[in-house]
Amino acid sequence: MALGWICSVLLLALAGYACFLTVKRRRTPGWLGGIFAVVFLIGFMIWIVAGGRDPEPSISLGGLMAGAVTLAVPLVFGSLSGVLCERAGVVNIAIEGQLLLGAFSAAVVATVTANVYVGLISAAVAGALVSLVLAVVSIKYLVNQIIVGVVLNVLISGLTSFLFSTLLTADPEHLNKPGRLQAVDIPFLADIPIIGPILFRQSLVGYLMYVAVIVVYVGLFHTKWGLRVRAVGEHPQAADTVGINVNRTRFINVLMGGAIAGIGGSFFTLVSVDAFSKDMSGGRGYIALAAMIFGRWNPIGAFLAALLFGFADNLQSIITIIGSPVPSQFMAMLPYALTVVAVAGLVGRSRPPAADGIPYVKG
Amino acid sequence: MSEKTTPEPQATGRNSAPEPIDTRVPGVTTSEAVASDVVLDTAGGQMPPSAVPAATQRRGRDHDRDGSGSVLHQIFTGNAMVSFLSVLLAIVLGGILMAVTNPKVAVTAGYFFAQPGDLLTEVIRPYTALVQGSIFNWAGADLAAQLYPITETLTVATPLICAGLGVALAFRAGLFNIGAQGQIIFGALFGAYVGFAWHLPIGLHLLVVILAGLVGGAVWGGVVGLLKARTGAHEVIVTIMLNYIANFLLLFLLTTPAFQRKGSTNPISPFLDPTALFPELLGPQFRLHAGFLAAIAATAFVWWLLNRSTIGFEFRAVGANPSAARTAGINVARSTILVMAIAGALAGLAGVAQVSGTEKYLSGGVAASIGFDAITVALLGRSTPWGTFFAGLLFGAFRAGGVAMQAQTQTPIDIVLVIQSLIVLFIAAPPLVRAIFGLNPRKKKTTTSGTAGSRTGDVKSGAAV
Amino acid sequence: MAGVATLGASALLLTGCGAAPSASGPSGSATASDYTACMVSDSGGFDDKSFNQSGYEGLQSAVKDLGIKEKHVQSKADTDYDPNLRSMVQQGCKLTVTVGFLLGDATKSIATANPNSHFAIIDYNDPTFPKNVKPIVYDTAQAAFLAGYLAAGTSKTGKVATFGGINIPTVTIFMDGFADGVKHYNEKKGKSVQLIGWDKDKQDGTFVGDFKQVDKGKVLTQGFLDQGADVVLPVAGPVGGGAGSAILDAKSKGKDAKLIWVDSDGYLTAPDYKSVILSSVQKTMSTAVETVIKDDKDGKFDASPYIGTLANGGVALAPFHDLDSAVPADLKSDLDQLKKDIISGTVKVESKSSPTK
Repeated sequence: MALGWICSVLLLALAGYACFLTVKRRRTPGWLGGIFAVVFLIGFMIWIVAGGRDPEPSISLGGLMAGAVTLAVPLVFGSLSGVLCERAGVVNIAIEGQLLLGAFSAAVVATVTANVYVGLISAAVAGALVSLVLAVVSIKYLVNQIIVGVVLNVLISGLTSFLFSTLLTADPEHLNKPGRLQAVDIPFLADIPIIGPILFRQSLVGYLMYVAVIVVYVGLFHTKWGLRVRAVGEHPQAADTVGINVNRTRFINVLMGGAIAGIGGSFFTLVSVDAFSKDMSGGRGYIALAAMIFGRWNPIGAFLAALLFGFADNLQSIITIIGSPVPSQFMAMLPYALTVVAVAGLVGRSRPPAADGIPYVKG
Repeated sequence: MSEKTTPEPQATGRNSAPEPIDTRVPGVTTSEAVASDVVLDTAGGQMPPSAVPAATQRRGRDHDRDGSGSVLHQIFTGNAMVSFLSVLLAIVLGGILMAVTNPKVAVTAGYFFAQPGDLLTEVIRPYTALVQGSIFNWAGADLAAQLYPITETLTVATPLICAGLGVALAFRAGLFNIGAQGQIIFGALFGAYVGFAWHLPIGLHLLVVILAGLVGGAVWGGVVGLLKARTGAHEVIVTIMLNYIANFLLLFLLTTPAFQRKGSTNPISPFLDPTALFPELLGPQFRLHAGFLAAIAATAFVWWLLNRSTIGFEFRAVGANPSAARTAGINVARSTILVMAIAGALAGLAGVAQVSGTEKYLSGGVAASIGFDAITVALLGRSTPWGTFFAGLLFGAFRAGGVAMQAQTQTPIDIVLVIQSLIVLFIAAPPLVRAIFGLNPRKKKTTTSGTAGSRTGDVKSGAAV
Repeated sequence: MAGVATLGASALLLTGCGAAPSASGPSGSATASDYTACMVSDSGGFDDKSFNQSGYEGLQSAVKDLGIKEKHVQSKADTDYDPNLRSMVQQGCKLTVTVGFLLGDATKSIATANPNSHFAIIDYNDPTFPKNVKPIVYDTAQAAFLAGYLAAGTSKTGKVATFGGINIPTVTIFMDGFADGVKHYNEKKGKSVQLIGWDKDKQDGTFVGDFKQVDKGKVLTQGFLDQGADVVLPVAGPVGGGAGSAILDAKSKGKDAKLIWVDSDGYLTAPDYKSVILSSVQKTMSTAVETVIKDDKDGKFDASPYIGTLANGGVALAPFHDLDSAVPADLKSDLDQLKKDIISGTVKVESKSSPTK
């Protein structure tokens, strides 16, 4: 319990510091939010577990973290897709659709070709296909990007559910039995206690996630290409003036974003479970959107936000397993409530790229 | 994509295109406003810009150089053709989808050239059923049966219109309200509780129920506005999260005896008192209830609010350009809170229409997917009150017709989602439709955009099949 | 794209040259009947790997065995029930089967308005139903009790687990029975096998939150395994697949864990996981549905509720199949005896969620 009190004091101190900064009109640093969230979680956990019915609760930290990462993988891919699109100035609400079509396509193609890797590639293609529609309609035909995104989500949900009901359930053996991307150990690293098995005993999709985060981060912030992309997202007129093709840059980014989210979708059917089922993305695309904003349109930030969400989600499950004094429905709210608290209390004013959502018409 | 994507020439007609409602801040011309958006959105940092910068919405409308305004406006102005083609295209694509997945069609296609009619019949049948289920059932035994479908459309449209208005209103103030789902749940929760737990005299009871629903929605919407105004929390995140929280809260409450029927542990509330129900408009054999009139009233109210009231002007000004609005002396924080509260109240009314009109009790699925459909409805209605109203009717017709289609032809109702979203996509992008059909009356298409257009068509059908 | 289109067109052309079937003439095996039986799902849909699916299988076998016509509609949301039921009546359905308590009110009101049509509803009973509604309910807790006893008896770690989709009675009735079965085992054998994921007294436990997020079911199950549980009972429709997947993973890492399926015999309906399925808590809905349809077709419809119990075989513990050897002989005989005791009433199985008789 002592630890619980320490946590409370720390939380107060952090909140006080944040208030101080806000009052002084200084920017609250991002790490403050992260620390607050972690301390909050630990404190909350102690309080909950102390009230549980198991006299000697045993939370396996490794299991907790591993589950958190598993839940976070699609979110990370989804939020990276968002970052890539929005940094170039295109709002991507269609992440949910990209995840779902990726999952669907991975399942079907992997089954038909009897090759999970082809399934993985097809997931990327499927995600990019959703993006293609988004890009053509919103960049070329200047339709409100949010309309297109929202509509695409409905379209993909309807389409996959329809095909699932009509085709996949009729013949699951030949259409919906994709097989599994096996976890691969990275030698030595996988043997590190606790974090080894979590970070280095992943499937191909898991490793792709790390690669994608790093590549997108380095690409956006440390290359000429990234500078151009950000210029397009912040001030397309200026970018155009210096000879950057604004709409082509956007087009390419949106396509790449879709491919990344599609791969994230394949995690559902190729890694996590063994078959596609209706609406199995279950709204995670919207959570990914929130993680992207929470992470301030930064790949690393989005990654951490997605991890935090996965952690909170798995934590609440494990607490209900141990037995908590709080009704399970309230525990289920935890990840969502935590996000609101974190965003309202600490992240505060986050600023999207200036030209985000505004179609560019050469003047 | 072509190296240089030239804007459609119609785009230049943006300023001259008649706008039914001018959302621009007075004294600021469109081009200036656009320029200042870009600059001002980044400046200050007092009031964070929305992820959906205000300029998007305004520009979205402006860019539609095919005469902005409502769907209705579109249909009855020179764009009837495009709307018609949009619907046609969506129906054809939907038909192809149904055809390739229907085993019966596979059989008839086998002898397509011997008896082409059979294939067509198989594809057309679902659509006939759709019309029969949403507008007029010519096979009905009596007039009541024949008119039942249209009343059903209105019934289903009622909550869509109310919640759609909530989304549209927030949109006009530059806020992207994904939270209609949670706000509907809160409205339904408050309204239903007052409806079954309190016993008030006839007349008064319904009024109190409506009021409670409005308050419930307003509270849940207002929280978003408050957080946004006070802490700058992004409304997209907050509304998404609050949807989940509202849903789990509803599930929890339905496990408590206070919300369950006597002697039952099922998560379903008692029926609302008869005094708490919207009166049936056409007698007990129809489900249509006075909630529809409330939806009409709400539409008129939002129209008045946006176009005739000072607050509405402030909302639009904030939506168009928060910084300019602040300079002009508008209290942006107050506007944000107020607009979200009103948007929430409208969604709450949708919740009341569900519990007090259509369903008559509260269950975990009371909000169905109305809150999310409402976003599409609002966008299709171009965020204007009457546009939203008619878009809601259109979606209501699809939903009602989809039920009949499924019953008659066993086509999964998901196809309705597909067709619905294709129509919205096409209607929102008239140049796309023109390109697909090779129509382009106003200019000679350059070869590049021509191919791009037809390529899009391919992609679409590819995506749909 | 154009190439694909051409290819498709020529394929169509080739296949399209077949001959049309001459005249109409159903090469009927069963005597074609005008009798139409119909079904309305709840929002889970007919492919929910749960009660909608089982009920639908009953309808299909009725079509095959009785030569009747069928119509079925899926509800996409709770708001679809009333219109779907109305449309079924309009389609001339003689008997309409509805699935789940959520359709209770709609069934009652439509049945009252259409006294000449017959209805049956699965998993819901309302004493105020009119005379043309037959409730089909199951005392699932009885079979789940056996499953709990079996799980406790086969667990090597002394911990067994269960989780649900959403906290609703049709789900928690499994969990209640399971909990009591474990308790009964402990009392009888003087053991202390622990159940995690459900607290019968508090009527609360571990839930996915919906019936969609299959991957979350997997993570949950991994959480259970980490806690030391080695038998898991998921009561969450398709999400049960996530549990199966987690247990397969654990097995490939050398952990010994088992799955107990619900509603249907998972060995047959979820063959992907058959190597880890110890048994299933079965509700034989398809048989019940087919019987009700047959009776109605023969003019023998009656509205008295059907209550599936161990005694009438409406609920049952499925065979152990491949894992038969994992169940010791004395445990098998215990289970047989327990089943007899439950049928005779010597052992009482009680759940808040049990159907009212």
